[in-house]
Amino acid sequence: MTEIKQTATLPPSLQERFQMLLGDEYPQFLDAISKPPTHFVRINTLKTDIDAGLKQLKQLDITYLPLPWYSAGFRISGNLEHLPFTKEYSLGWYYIQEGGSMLPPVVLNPQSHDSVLDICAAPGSKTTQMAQMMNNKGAIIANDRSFRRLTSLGHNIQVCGIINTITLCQDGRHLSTRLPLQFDRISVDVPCTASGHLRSKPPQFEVPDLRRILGIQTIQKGLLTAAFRLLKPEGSLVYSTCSIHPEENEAVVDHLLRSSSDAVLKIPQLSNYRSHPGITQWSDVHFSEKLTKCLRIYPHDNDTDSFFIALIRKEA
Amino acid sequence: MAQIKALTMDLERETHVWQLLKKQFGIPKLAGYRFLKSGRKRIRLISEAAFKLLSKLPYTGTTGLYIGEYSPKAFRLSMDGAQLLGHHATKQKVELTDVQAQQWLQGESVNYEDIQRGYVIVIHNNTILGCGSLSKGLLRSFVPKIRRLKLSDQLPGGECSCQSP
Repeated sequence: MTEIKQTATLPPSLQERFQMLLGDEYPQFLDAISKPPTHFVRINTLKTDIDAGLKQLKQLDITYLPLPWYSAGFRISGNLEHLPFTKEYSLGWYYIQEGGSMLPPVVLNPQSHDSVLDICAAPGSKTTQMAQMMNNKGAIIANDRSFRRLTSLGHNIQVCGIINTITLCQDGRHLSTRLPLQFDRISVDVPCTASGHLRSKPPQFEVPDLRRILGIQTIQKGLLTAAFRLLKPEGSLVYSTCSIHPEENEAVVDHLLRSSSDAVLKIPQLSNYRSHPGITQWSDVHFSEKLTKCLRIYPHDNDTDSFFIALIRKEA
Repeated sequence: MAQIKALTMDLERETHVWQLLKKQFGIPKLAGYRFLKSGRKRIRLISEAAFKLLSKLPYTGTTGLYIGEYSPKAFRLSMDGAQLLGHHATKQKVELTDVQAQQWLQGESVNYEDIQRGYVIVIHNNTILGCGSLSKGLLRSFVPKIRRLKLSDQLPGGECSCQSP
């Protein structure tokens, strides 16, 4: 019944797009987006340890399942309404973060001695996760062009107890001319249409407006190009979106590959999660064959929202 | 660069902050941390690597973690400052009961008889809750309003960074 209702809600143009992208897996995709959203939590190991965090979840009658791709991430269910009103939540032990959103930092894999740039950082899920992965060492520059969103980033940095992060309020597209620095690793989690958020937010099922998508694509290309300029030779960059549209994903990465001969796509070395390769053709547009090294993650793959991830390395 | 210059403390003042922390709480000088000033009294803590990067930036927003307020005679640790540095403290620590911890985290003062006076690190079940002020049998709470325990509400969804421009 739900499936029929959901299918009927999808505008025909969106149905057509999803069918083109997913082929035989379209019914599975529909089934997955019809389910209620799954909740996830990240245990902040800068404030507590995993065992203590899990013990408290158990006491709250919350059941948890570890995420196979990240040791501090858990799928939670049960008595969730009490979690934000606990002492531990107030102290910053937990961070509510979508499971798929924990993947880009895992792919980027920042180390404790690295200098890292998060070019579109607010509200800080990935910044705080990276600081956690770096054990509060090294340095992160967390940039966002929205001052309002930067305020929530500052709050999250404070609550999570992070000391290795400096925030900037700049248009990321101009950073490469304004920062006299290069970074070991860069997270480029760009603004997007969020068309992959079909479960965790009330489905709006907007009819894809190609003009709007292409407008956002221009910004995405500018951000990725600027970020790549700020990357050290042999450094790594992760480009990610929570959009399904190829115009915001493969087309943007393809643009970088064509304009920068030293940009090399790498296959993320991860296991225990399902994904699809990036596409090499959309409509009548052909992309580089190398784009199959990108990851497309759909809700029916790992019971998360959709995500697109590309790992790019700058050759020396 | 003027902004960055305004953030950095001279070595003498930085030493004085460490001395205050040692004198008040028994917290020794720790390697790998640097202090920054934020306004007249507020002190932030930043990793050594981030501090080095700071000198190369033409401008910044917030830097590091707000760890407390400084005056020539005393240092008041913030909630997160107490959690970060409190493990190294050897004195000025108080342990609360379940009921007291609940009240204190709700922002209420709690009755607490002790010979210690002044700023104290507040602990419950081996977990550091923050920093309070103990005077005349009353432990005042400095838990920021936004962090205080509330009685009921909804599970907040994680805000997504993917808003359209």
